[in-house]
Amino acid sequence: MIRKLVILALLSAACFISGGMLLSQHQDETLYPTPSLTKRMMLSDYFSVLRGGDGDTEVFEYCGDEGGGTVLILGGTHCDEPASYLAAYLLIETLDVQRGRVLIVPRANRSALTHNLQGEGHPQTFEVETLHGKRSFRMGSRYTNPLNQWPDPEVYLHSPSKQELSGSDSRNLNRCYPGRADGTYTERVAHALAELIKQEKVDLVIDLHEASPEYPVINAIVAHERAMDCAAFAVMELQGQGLEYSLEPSPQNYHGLSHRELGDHTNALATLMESANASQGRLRGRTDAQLVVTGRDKMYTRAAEIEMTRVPFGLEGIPLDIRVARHIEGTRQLVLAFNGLNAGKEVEFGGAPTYAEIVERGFGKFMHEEN
Amino acid sequence: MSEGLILAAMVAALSISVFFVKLPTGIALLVSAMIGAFVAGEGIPLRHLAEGSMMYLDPMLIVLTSLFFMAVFERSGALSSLNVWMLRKFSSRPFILVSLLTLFVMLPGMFTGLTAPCVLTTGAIAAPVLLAAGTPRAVAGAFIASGAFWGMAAPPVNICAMLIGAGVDMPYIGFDLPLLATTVPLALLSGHLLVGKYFRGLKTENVCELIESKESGGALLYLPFLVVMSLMLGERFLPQYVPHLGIPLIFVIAAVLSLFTGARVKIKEAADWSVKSAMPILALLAGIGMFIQILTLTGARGFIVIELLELSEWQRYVGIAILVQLFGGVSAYGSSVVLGVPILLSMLGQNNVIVASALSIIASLGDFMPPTRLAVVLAGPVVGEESSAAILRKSLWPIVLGLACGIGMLIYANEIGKLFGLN
Repeated sequence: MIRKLVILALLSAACFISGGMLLSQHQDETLYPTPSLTKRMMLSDYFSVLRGGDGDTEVFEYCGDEGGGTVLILGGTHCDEPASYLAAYLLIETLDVQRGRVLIVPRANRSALTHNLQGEGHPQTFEVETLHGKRSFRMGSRYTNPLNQWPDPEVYLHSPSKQELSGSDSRNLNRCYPGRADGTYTERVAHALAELIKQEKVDLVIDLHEASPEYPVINAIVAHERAMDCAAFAVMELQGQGLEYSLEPSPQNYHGLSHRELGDHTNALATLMESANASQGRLRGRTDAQLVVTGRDKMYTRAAEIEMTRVPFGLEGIPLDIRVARHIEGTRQLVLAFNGLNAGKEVEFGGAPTYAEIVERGFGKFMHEEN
Repeated sequence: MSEGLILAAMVAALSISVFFVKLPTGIALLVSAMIGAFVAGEGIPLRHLAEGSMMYLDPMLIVLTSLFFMAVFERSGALSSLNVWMLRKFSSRPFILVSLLTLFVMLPGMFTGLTAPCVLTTGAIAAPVLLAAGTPRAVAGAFIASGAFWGMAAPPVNICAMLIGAGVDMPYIGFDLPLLATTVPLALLSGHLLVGKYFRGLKTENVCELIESKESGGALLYLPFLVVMSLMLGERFLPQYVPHLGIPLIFVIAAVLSLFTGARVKIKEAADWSVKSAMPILALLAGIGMFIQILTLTGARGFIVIELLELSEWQRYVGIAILVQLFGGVSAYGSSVVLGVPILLSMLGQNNVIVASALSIIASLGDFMPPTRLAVVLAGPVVGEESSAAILRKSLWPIVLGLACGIGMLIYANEIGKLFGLN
């Protein structure tokens, strides 16, 4: 009897401690927008069903003095792809819009930042050096937290295409577009984002992502056919700067992705960017906060030697600074290309550091905690 | 410490715990995970262990609820009644009876991509027929596990193939025909090789006497089973009318229904039996989740994958045959994602659909493999065989056929792809 009680007490203590650790991930990081911020909204402003839930997320609006087009930047669609939301955070804390309008949703699937994917061994947080010391950020999951949407069906039937995907993809925001007002939790978030695009008459969507270094679509801009010209000019400009980028057309028979569905179901030009993130790859070695930040991994270096990676992967790895810098520069070039093709709808902004500046100093040095 | 040594420490800890200390496998996996984390300098990573233990929450609930359903359904008299009907109808045609039993066992797996519902529903229904025909318990268990494995790999729902495809953004299109043409004939062949000889010369009346029939409930007896199948299939084919309840809730609904459709069931006794039968499996699944979490955390998982990819071409086929199914023994889905996707990427010159189909079949074989041996372990209580090792030994045919089929498809992927019009 005493032995059972001791075991029960030990188990209860383990549950209590680990439960506390898991709960700690529900706390959003504080962001410090620039004075250029004109409005701080919530996604539920566009679809009230989300109000107050984990799916409700902040929308930052930056308006220039002059009228122009509207660009929407999505970070944190997949929250195990940290460069996606850190690039969005960096823009929020540095942006100065002169013309047109920039909308930023840094945590598109906010629920996915509140947990880690079981079996992946990811750290809960990682730290980045800033001018004010170390700043901590959460590492999340590719999927919506099961606390918000559970159980998964065995097969996820995408709406409206009826395409079949594995059940876990029912919690993958980038397989749920254009979403459904009466659908699952994740489909409602996708629907709300599509509503935001329609109601705000967004012209250009830039969905920021990362992928494992062995993934075929990497260091790339993926574009809906209507956004192809814009993406092509941006890729040429990025290549001209010496950055490796490829241009990938959005597959017409693979549904649920932002570049396919937002392009088909809204008037926006839909694009998506990918950088190479070793911490989400299947070939990676030890999984810790160091891997997330430094991007160094000896297993991927071995994989590159047998040509199993789609990007060069040396001992120096692919650090978070470079991945964030690519997203910032890619965003800048997509907007410039959009401006060149859409006279009268230009969007002009400054403040954001250049690729070279971020690589030299680290993106953390440009974040503004004192605002 | 290097990843290879961490892996060696984990395997050694697991082996010592199971074979020398004689700990239950679930507990041994926890010990192995803790040793792995400790030697990797992670201390006792409580959060990772808790996270890993929840990795298989859904399969755990399926196992528990389906065993409860099976207990109540069996005690209501439905199984014996259905079996008597089946034997009266088909025992004079043993070839058709064995073929139908095979397809019947496969059915839930074809629509769920899981082995557990096959073993615990249609497998449980088929079990008394197999035993009454004189099939040894271990062979009957192997027959059910075999049907469940082929059902898991068969179309229209092969979750392993979906997961491998999703890893490279390949839609689940074009898989039905190749998977159907390979899994169904091989499932039938496996079934006949396993139990065909026991069904030849079957005397209907003699066999029916062996099954204690309680036909008082008539057609109503089968209602719970029809409800299970209707809700599972309806959710998939008529999603606008049938809500998504999840398999565990479907089994609970059917179990409650069984209380009113046949003989009186002592619910506490049925619940006790199902919890007692499920407990070792639940512990095993929790242990495996923790083991995988620590494998990934320490880099041992990546070490296994990269070692496989560094093999030469022919060595790689041998490596796939061994590692993909062995990792499938930890988790068939995990094996598909962790090993299946990189292997597919390393074979991009071959037909993607056929390669992914082949890998999905080999990964599904993991349900025969230790440490989980899920299909085999679940088949034990269904046929009344205590030794899952005995069932595994009798499962050689489906394992050999599945492996030969998978490796053959990998080697001749382009040629097979052309046969099915896939370019």
